[in-house]
Amino acid sequence: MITLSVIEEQDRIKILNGAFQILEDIGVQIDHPLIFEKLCAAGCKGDEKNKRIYFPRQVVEERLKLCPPTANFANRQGEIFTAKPGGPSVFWTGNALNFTQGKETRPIRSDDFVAFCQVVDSLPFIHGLVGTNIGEYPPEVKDFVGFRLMMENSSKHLRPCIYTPQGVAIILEMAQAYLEELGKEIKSWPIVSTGYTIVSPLHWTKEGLEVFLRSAGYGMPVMINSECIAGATSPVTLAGTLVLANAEALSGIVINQILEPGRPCVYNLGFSHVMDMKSAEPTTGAPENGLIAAAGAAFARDLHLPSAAWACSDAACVDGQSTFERAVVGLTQLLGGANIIWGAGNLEFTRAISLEQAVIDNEIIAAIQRIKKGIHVSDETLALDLIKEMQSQANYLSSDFTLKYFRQELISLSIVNRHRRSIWEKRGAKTLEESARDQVEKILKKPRAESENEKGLEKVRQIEKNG
Amino acid sequence: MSYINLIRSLVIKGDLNLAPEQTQLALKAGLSPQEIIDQGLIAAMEEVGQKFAEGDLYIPEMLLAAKTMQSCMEVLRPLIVDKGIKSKAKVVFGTVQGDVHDIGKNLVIMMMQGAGFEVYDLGTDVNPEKFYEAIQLHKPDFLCMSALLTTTMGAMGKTIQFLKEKGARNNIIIMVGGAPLTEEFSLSIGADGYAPDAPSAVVKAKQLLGIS
Repeated sequence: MITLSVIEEQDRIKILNGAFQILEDIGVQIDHPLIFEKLCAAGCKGDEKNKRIYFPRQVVEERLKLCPPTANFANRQGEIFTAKPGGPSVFWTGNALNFTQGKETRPIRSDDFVAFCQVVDSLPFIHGLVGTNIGEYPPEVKDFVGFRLMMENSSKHLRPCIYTPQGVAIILEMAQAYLEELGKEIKSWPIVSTGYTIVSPLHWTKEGLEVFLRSAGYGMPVMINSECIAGATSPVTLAGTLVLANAEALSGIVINQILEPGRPCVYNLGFSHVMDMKSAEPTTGAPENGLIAAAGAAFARDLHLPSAAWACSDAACVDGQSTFERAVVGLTQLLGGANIIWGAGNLEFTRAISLEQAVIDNEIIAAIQRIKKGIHVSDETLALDLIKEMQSQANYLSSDFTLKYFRQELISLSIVNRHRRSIWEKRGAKTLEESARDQVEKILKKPRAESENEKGLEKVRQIEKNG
Repeated sequence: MSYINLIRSLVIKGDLNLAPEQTQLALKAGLSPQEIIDQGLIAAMEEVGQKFAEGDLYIPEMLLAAKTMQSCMEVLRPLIVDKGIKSKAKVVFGTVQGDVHDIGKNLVIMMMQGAGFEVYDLGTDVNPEKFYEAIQLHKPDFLCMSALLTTTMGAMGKTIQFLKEKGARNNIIIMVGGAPLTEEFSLSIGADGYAPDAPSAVVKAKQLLGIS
């Protein structure tokens, strides 16, 4: 396995010490009175007037010890991915506001989102589906309506986009009702996960904390996100951003371990951005995004926690930028060891999703996962006997050895062009986007299999109606 | 170089030391505060805004220019008050109820101040009552509301409705902005204008006010 180190151990120690200092000296704004109380009871110092909590290092280290080093994420085909420091990585989609096709964009509608879920469901290198805005529904119901749509149209692991604390409670009820029909529960089969992002710098809002509170007690994995914008909500230096991001994520760990000791937590510094100093946009496709996330994964490993990241592009449509940014950032994050990488299908600073981009990203993911896999060396793969046999004859193509090993050695991608120009022209002279479009149409035309748990889905729909 | 041209170029360059110094000297030389503001400071910020919109200036440079302009305004402020010199327009700003994000709002505020607008910033998580009270107090020409989340942008419509019920809607121009917003949304809630970024917010504001 290939890995990439972007930050030395002694630098990580300096940064983490900085983070602990920030937590002790500056503290974090905590808007939730009950959680404020619990933090004080757990040994933190509270300034009630300013809603500020100061976290002694000892308290943080004690709570870190309660975190399990792994977090499980299940799909509905019985497969469980275990996120663990130093372990493998999976790619998910990401949330968004808009749906982009060609150069046009509009707020995501439920039929767009259904199509997106169905396309992603067919893509083997994308393992998780993240909820999005559903434009025609009001904010109070978007999250659990979106969850029902995800349940009906995909069997991947589901991470609904949470709009309200009530929403997460309803989603939990839906997931439990679904699993009950199969004689299972969330703890042992976590088909759904949640998470929330601190408002940088150093401010947990009441809504975010209420989401943690309402989702606690079920063994459901929670992603604790710091989403700094270097140069805007954190120092422009990447080191300074990492100090702040670590402080923020650590505060989230303490909160979640107080609410549910032993709850699986994902330590996520990898959603952080850098501000583009001309457009004032928080970038997602800049190389620095890759660096921050790779460093974040290293910090998570130091703390014995799984990590996450978001590989996206700032391109407004499917084009060269949307592919190269994702590949560069995604590869950096993957080799850096981030366990869960969001962003498949995202465009425009994560504001949009695109069916064609999801298909293209599936290929990018396949390619970069192949790089991570590295070169397998064994007595067999050295192929000494074969080389001796062939001598100076180039007959490797027809050998049994090639037949035996070509699939595991050489990745096969579906939509990229690997033909010379004359054949490419005969085959329609398609661009990558056009080939992706063809695949989208093919996927959407395929008849969908019946749900394996229609009774469970019925319960989900009923809960949605009551919600 | 004339005082006006020198002040203009120092503001564009972001020279926090020399710009206010030259402003003092310009006053001593007999130039009026209005002349310095209009032809020196606002003209400088218009050029800054133009360069920024064309991608020739970075945000930190723009912010430094705005800070420099403000430092010159501090020199002129006692005279402005004495002579009753008015700003181009008064604006009340706030991020709506339930939302604590303010980077975009703060950028727009900087640019509006640079354009000669008098700004009252209510901060974040501002409920409709607080917007109303600020309007009663400051009697602004404009109300600008910002939201970053789809869950909070609805508060803009609620605020406009509240102002209507209080009879305060007709006398004020309302502009909205923020990442999840669109022109269509702004029209649907009864706002007068929408801008996707800071430079165009100033242009739109001037358009709505009918000023240059």
